[in-house]
Order: sequence, then C-alpha cells, then structure tokens
Amino acid sequence: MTPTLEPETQAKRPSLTRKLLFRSPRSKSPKSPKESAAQPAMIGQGKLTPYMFSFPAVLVVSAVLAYPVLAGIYQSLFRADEIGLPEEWVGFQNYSDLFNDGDFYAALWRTAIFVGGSLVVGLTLGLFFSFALFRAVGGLRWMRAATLAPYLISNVAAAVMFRLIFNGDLGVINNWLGYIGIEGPAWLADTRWSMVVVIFSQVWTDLPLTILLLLGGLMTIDKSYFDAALVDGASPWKRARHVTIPLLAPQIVVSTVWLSYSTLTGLGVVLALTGGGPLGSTTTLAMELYNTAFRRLEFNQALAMATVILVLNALLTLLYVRVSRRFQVPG
Amino acid sequence: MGKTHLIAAAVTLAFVVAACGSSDGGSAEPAAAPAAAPAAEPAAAPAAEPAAAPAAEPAGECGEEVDLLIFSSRDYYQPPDLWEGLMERCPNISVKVQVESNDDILQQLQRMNDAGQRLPDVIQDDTFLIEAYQNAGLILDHTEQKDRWEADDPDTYNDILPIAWEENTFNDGIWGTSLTANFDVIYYNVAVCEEAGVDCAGIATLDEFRDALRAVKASGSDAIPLSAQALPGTGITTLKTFFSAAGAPFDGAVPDMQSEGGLYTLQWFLDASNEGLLPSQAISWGEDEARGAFAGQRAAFILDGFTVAGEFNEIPGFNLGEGWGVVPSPTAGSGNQISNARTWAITSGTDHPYEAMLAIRHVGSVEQLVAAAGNGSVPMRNSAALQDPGLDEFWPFFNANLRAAYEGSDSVPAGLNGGSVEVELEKLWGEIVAGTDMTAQELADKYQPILDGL
Repeated sequence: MTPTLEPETQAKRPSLTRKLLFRSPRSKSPKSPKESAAQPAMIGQGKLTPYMFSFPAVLVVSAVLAYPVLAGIYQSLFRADEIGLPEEWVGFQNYSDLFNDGDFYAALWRTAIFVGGSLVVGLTLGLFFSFALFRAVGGLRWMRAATLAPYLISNVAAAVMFRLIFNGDLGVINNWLGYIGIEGPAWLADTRWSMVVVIFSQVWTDLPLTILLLLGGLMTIDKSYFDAALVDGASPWKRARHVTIPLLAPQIVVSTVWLSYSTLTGLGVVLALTGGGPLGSTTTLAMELYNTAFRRLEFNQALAMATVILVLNALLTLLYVRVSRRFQVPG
Repeated sequence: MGKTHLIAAAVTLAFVVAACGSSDGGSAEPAAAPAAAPAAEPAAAPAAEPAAAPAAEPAGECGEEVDLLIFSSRDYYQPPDLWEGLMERCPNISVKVQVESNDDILQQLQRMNDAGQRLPDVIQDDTFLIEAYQNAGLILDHTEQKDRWEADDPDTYNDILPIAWEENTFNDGIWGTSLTANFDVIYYNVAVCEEAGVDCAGIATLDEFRDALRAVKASGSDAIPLSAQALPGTGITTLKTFFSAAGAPFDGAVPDMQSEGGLYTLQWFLDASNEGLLPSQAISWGEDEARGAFAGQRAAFILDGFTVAGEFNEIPGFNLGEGWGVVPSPTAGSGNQISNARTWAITSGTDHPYEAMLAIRHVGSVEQLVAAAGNGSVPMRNSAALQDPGLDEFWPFFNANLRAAYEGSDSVPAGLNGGSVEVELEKLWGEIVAGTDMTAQELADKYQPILDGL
C-alpha cells in the first residue's frame, strides 16, 4: 500500500492552486478598457513593491510579538542585588547560575515527563476520539460540538475540579474504586501518582483542540483514497497506517506542536492542582519560573528561565516538523 | 470601502493614542504631570460640591486643592463610602482609588517610574515589601507627616498601636503606617473536644495543644486531630507562626532552627506527623481542603487566619460556642503571637505628602476601621477601634483573649528575601507533613544553611 494513490489528483490540485494563488502581478490578465485607462502608471510594479506593502504588517507584528520577546531576553542579562535596587548588567550570569542549579535540571526532567506524557496520551486520545467522531453520523453529530465543552472551561477551574475528583478522602475516583474493593491511592499526596494526575488534567483541557484539529484534517481527506484502499483489500489498521495517518500528518504536527507548547509553558493546571508538590514532584520549568518570578521576586532570573523555555519550544517544534516529513505524502 | 477604511484608521488612531497616553490622568512627562494634575481641575471640585463646604474642616487642616491617586492591594480594606467621607470633610481633596489585587504594585510603580509616568500618591501593600519600595526610592519618609499627625490630632494618633510605625522603621526613617494586620488563631470543634475530655478553650501553650491532639486521637474520634495546609504556596504561615510562638529567633525572615525554639517547633510537628495527629494527605491540601475538613466537622483543630472565623460563623448548624470555638495560637517559652500587616505609604511621586497622609489618617480612624471590619477586612492596629462595641456585630468571636493576644502580637518576621525563604520552608514543611525519618536536629542541619544562604 502506498500513500500516493491517484497521483493525478495530487498533481492537478497544486498546479491549479498555483495558477490561482501565485499569479504574477506582471501577468497579462485581461483587463477591461476602463481598468486599463484608470491604472496606466500605477506605482508598485517594481521589485520592492511586495516589501513595501508587507512592511506595515511586519512592523506591527514585530512590535507586538518580537519586541516583548527581545526585551525579555535583554532584561535577562541584568540583575538587581535586592528587590527594588537598580538592575545591573551581569551578562550571562543568570544563565550560568541556572545551568549550575540542580533544581533546574530536576525541573527540566519533570518537564520532559510532563510534555512527553501529555503528548503520548493527548495524541492517542485525540486520534481515537477524532476517528470515532469522524464516523459519527446523523443524530450523533452533536457529539462533535459536545467534545469542545472542556475547552470552554478555564484550565485553572478544571484543575480545581480535578483536585476535588482526585481527593484521596472524598474524591469520586476513590469512591468508585471503593465500590469494586480497591483502596485508591492518595493521588495528589503521593509523589508516584501526582504527575499522572497532572498529565491527565492537562490532557483533558487540551484535548478538544487536538480533536478539532485532527477531525478537521480527517474531513479534508479525499474519500477516494479510502475507497481505493478498500478495493485493494487493505485492513483497517493498514488503511490507518498507510493512508489516513500520512495524509493527516500536517494536522498531527500542528497538534503535536500545540500540545508541546501548551504543556511546556502550561502553568494553570500545575499551579492550581498541586502547586508543584507534593515534595516538588510536579515542579515543572513553568512552575519553577513562577516561583522565581512571583515568590522569590527574582524577575531577571525568571526571564532567563523563560528564554530557555522559548529555545526549548523552538527546538522541539523544529524536531516535530523534521520528523513529520518522513510520514508526509510526497508532493 | 473608503468609509470602512476611514473608520478603521480612526479606530487604529484611537488605540494608538490610548496606548500612548496614561489612563490615570498621568502623562508621559513626569515632571509636568504631578504639578499639572492638581492644577488641571482646580475649580471643578469645589464648584461641583458647594453644599459640602459647611461640613468641611478649615482649609488649613485639609491642605491644598489636590487630586489623590491611591493604589490599594485589596478592596475589602475600603468600606463603602470610605473616600466619600474624606472628600465631604475635605472638599479640596479628590480621591481616585485603583484596587490592584495582583500583588504587583511594586513592579507597576517601578515600570511607571522608569517610563516617567505619574506615580500614585499613596499605596497600600504587604509590609514586608516596604523596604523594597524604599530601596527603589518609590516612597517618602513618613516621619514628618507622622509628627504632624501627633501635633494636629493627638487623640486619634495615640489610638494607633506603636507596632504600626515600628515595623516600618528602618534605614533612618519611618516608611509607612500598618493600620491592619491578620493573625493566626486556633479553631476547635466543641463536640470533639468534649468527647475527648479536653478543655479546648483553655489551651494556652504548645504542649497543651499537643496533649489535646493526642487526647482526640486516643478518644477514638473519627475526626482528624489537626487539619493543616501544606500545598505549596498556601500553608507556610503555620510554620512561621509556630517558630515565633516557640520563641525561635529570626534574622530577617530566616528562623534560627538550631535554637531551642526552632528545634522545639520541628520536634512538635515531627511528633504530630509520626503520631498521626497531622494527616500526611495535608501535603496536598490548600485552603479549601483544610478548612473544608474543619467546617465539615471532620477535624478537631485547625490553625488559620482570624478572618476565616467569619466564614465558619456562616455555616448553618455549626454555631460559635456550640459547634466551634477559637483561642489565640498557643505559645511556648518566650514565644509570642505574630500579626501579618499591610502598610500604607506615601510615594515619592506625590507633591502633596500632607494631603496623602490625611487620606491615611482617614483610613485609620475608628469609624472607618470598624466599617472595614464589616466589609471583610482584618483586625486593626488601633486600640480604640479594637474596643469599639460596633465590632461585636461583625466579629462576635473576637473575645477578650483574642483582643489581648492581638494587641500584644509581634510583627511577622520579614526581609527582602522573604519569598525565597518561604519557598525553602515549604520544602521543609512538606517533608514533615509527608513523613520523614529525619530528626529535628537533622532537619535543622539540612535546611538552616540553605536559608542562611538566601
């Protein structure tokens, strides 16, 4: 089974799209005599024209997005001896301290578990639910909308809800386990379980968007691919492995990037659910950043940490894009 | 399309203008703003409220025409009509208040100062941050205004407990006035105490408290002996209260755990944890779980802030006296209770320190402090207000013992490294609550160097 079924379709669509979208401004498109008369010497037909038109947008985006990031990186090169005292240039001292701090590596390791766990669980559940919802027909289509419900709830509120659900004494999870004769653990007080609960809660809050992305991707796949695979006698697993997943690769990458970003920078769930405890077992980089900035009031050091998270995010995104190319359909 | 573009351009321009300007009447030009602000609308205030003039104080006592901008950290410190009362009494003073409840007033002022914006005239923030404000040159020395208050109105001045000034006295100045402070108390479940045969209302020492917990455990009661918060970020006040109560000396915010009081505190909690008096699950308990356990009558005792009493008092069927009672947090040796204050300070950005102090004096009046109590505020450092019968309406649980303990309480040990100290103490607290094989001495040996290095 190859992913390049019906090559004609693949070949035709881009070329048509190219004709429509990337039409040269100098192309001899037919104009009405009136148009030609109105625009005889219109400015902006030179090479700089696209740049001139893009410049305002680039400027605004730079101001809104790039400036705060660059300012944050710049500020991470300063430090105040005490709160309130003037900040002094310390170069890369904040980074040096960070990389010599054992707590940083512990937080980094916990973040890797948090991100990795959330990706595996989130993508697995996302694929499962999106496949299920893709097949939902007729009166069951309302379920597609219902799946979005968790996304409407603030992740902090969701975390508080899970704190009650996983309460060792009063939580419904342990109550249910009790009905079948199992004594549930103290989920949030036990260092072996706390990260599991945090991952579960984070995935719960992120799952709707993952499902939405994947479901959207599934709906754009040409049905003829599946028909051809069926004619070829492919099993459901082979259809998924060789047809659906390769064609869904762009959406999987976007979901992966989104989940990765959400967990790497995610603070709300951890803060409201465990506060980084018990005994620091859920203190991720974002939680450590929060403690540094808002409890220790060491803002410049926190900015150094934020910069490291930014770089990690960028590296992970590049990695995902690179890996995904292996699975993408050629062309 | 042309019209649409015109509207879009206008909206964009409006956003740009709004973004560049100061929303608080300030301006991008720092030097001009403070002076210009009062002059900008000098005639409007008296002209708008001429009727208020007869009730007003003589102009000399109310100072000059001024618009005061105040940043307050919480809304419950300000009862309804607080500032209207001041503006009626002194029509020349116009007050605008911004409640900044994100605990970032210091950072805001630093940014405003750097940007050359007009600073507020008065701020209210955690007392432990006042030194940082002073470090940054954001607040003025209070001494002159305090002395003027004493000279102008000695009666109201003398009502203020000395601690309100003392804890803001450093670096050769008095940098604020701490008019209100919360403090921790012990709440007990009356029925559980009776069942265990313990006179909980009489608990005064930490040893008596531990004996009471043991008695509850021994009575076979289903209740958790001691409910506590140990979720990171929430429960560290308990440990600090106990260190102070046991007489452990502090160096700034850092307790001396190697001291007799320090080791006593650690041993006290280790015993409580090892004997099952303090549940290990409390490591994941925040306010909701800890208070919920007590309010749900599943815990015999809880150490918590004074203001929580108001919430317990509203639980149907769990009444003060019959359901629950409250005593001051117990002490040992030379230890004492502590109270955690918020401070009002005059900023260096004001051109009207006298009028700014008038606003603080108004907040510190008996009438306003009692009204604030009804608004959910915390106890006040004002002896006349503490004895005011009007408090009984809002705080029927504020008995003579509590009042005496409050009046005699010390300041919460504080320092600029307070936040870092709390983060480390939380780790220690977590270890104790979760259960550890270490001794008190070993814990002190482990954590003291870390704290000393902060």
